[in-house]
Amino acid sequence: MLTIKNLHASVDDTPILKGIDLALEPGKVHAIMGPNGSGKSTLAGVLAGNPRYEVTDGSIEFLGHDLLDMSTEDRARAGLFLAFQYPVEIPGVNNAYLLKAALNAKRTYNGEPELDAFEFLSKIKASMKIMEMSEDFLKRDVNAGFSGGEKKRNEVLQMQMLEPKLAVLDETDSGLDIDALKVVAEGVNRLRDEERSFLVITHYQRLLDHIIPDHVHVLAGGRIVKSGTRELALELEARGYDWISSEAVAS
Amino acid sequence: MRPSMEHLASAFAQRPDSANLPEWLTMMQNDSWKRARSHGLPWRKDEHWKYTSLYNLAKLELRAPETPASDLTVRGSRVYQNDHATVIEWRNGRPLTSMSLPGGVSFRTLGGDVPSNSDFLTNEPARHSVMQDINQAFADTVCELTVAANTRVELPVYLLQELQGNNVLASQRLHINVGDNSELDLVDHLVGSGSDNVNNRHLSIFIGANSHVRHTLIQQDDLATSLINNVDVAVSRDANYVSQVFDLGARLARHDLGISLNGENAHCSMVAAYLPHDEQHVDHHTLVKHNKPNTHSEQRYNGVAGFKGHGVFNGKVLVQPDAQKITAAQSNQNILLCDQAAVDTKPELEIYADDVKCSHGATVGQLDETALFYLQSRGLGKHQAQQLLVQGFVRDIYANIRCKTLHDWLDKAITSKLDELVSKLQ
Ligand SMILES: Nc1ncnc2c1ncn2[C@@H]1O[C@H](COP(=O)(O)OP(=O)(O)OP(=O)(O)O)[C@@H](O)[C@H]1O
Ligand SMILES: [Mg+2]
Repeated sequence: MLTIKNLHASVDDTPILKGIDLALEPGKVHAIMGPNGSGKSTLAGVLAGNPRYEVTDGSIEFLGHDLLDMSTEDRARAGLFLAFQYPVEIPGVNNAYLLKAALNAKRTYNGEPELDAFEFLSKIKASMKIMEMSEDFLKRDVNAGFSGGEKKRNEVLQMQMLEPKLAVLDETDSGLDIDALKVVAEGVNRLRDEERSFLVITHYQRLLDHIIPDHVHVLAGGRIVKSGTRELALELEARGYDWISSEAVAS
Repeated sequence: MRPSMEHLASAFAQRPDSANLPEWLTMMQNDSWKRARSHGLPWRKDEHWKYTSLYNLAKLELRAPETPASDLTVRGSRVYQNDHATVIEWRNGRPLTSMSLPGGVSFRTLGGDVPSNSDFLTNEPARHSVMQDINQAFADTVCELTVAANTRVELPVYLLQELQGNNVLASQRLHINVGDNSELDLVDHLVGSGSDNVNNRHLSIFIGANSHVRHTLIQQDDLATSLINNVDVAVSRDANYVSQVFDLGARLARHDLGISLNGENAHCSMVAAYLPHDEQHVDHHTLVKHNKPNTHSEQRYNGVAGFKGHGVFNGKVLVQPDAQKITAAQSNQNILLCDQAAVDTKPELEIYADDVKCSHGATVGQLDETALFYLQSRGLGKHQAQQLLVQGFVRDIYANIRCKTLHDWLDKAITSKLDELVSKLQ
């Protein structure tokens, strides 16, 4: 599905990612945890093709494509989805319009016919129900004036609609109340199958009670310093990150 | 050096039919010409012409238009068909058709004896410009549209105006007089075609007490046409003037919009969207005079400049000494789509009263990179993402238009214009 090798990336000439190796198999959920500023969002941004980041070394293979060679939009159309840590407010662009344009761009890319208004509407209504969102959101501008939690739901709604092959969720759980967390987790779990993979970035073990990961990685200082099973997340919750850093230094 | 007036001088000397005009009109033309001649064409050393050059215009061998043929075939799409509006058609600055007017509305062409009730010909505008003198020197058909007091004009009055031929200097002169307690929706549609034509028009509007005028100007001239648009508005107490301008064309478009708020609780709201590219130059000069207390003005001008487009905004709010408790808000926001796009902006406040609420702000920036990335990360192509963002920015200007026909027409015209702008970017 996704193979990252020796990935180095910088922002404004400051190296942030310093050699990441990571492989995701189809149908698996990998969680990434790690202290603030360790490079988690940078990794997510590099995967999605954010021009802010410059890849200085390494390679990424996604479903047989050289990902770094693809434009942001083609990555999305080929099945990569990034749920933003800070979803962007876009006044003047209608939420439903964006969803429809996104869906049809993807369908066209994959040689499928565009959805007609009726098909689109029934699809979106079903997704909104899962996300427990009021249909008013369709009429509003993209994320404009949405509360923090509403923005996160909207990200997952988009994911529902686009049915990606790989979803990268960057702290989709932060800022959610307990009920919303369940709704969002349910939105993710419904999409889980043998084909679809997830990269879940989070600070909280709590999310991983709902979205059970196959692997957990710790990213610190731009490197993956430890990998393990879901027990690792529990241990991190109890002990913090310091012990890993010293362990990493010791080894 | 000031641009030369030689071509204008020979156009003035060779005006067709000038011998048959009423005496008062010939006198007025001659006086105006003398004033214009002694001042000369504006140029960059004149305070209000710093960014807009008339050299190219002065080079054109212009002439006053011949009397028009009777038919009108306006290219491009009409906003309104005849049964959805009162249509008044114009060609090269002169009215064409005998239209049927709704009750309370009348239209006349001033001729014959010295016209009665025509103070508007001598009234001092909010800001005087030489281009108004030149308009008055050439205008041979002075028109007046009157809305009687206590009249709510149901359908919009649609001024559909075409320029045709080549090297024509059109000089439309129209006064609109709206009586007390009345309401008028005016849609002003300029469709210039032909080549090297200049539309130097002058609209004056008087709005009586407690009346409302909504004035939409759609400027859709082609790239070989220049527009000098002089609009002067006097607003009485409790009255309201709304101006919405959409610049979709023209090589050069210069707007001088002067508004005098002459009675307490007079209000004006001015918005515009301008989208220059491909050597187009659009200049909005506005002046709002708060002459009385408790008057209110707001301005929202949004510009998008594409490849080789140039936009100018100079908006001035003048508050007279005893005009207390006024509010004035002014905003000019611009997006430059590429390196070869430019905007000059200068909001100005001149305040002589002390109890006022004024705000102004101007921004010039690029498209929001983060928003662009967000849209692309959802699978939208770069041009589509750019277009959506720009459209959102421009839609802010016309989203509130209540007339669905007008709104949808604009939405379509602006979408295709933006498509053109964005597709020229790399
Ligand atoms: N323009 C820049 N110049 C230098 N450093 C930068 C720049 N932009 C971001 N950084 C740094 O990059 C590092 C990684 O940021 P990133 O957003 O990837 O962290 P994160 O792991 O997602 O953190 P969080 O858990 O807080 O979301 C941070 O230390 C940040 O300060
Ligand atoms: Mg982050």
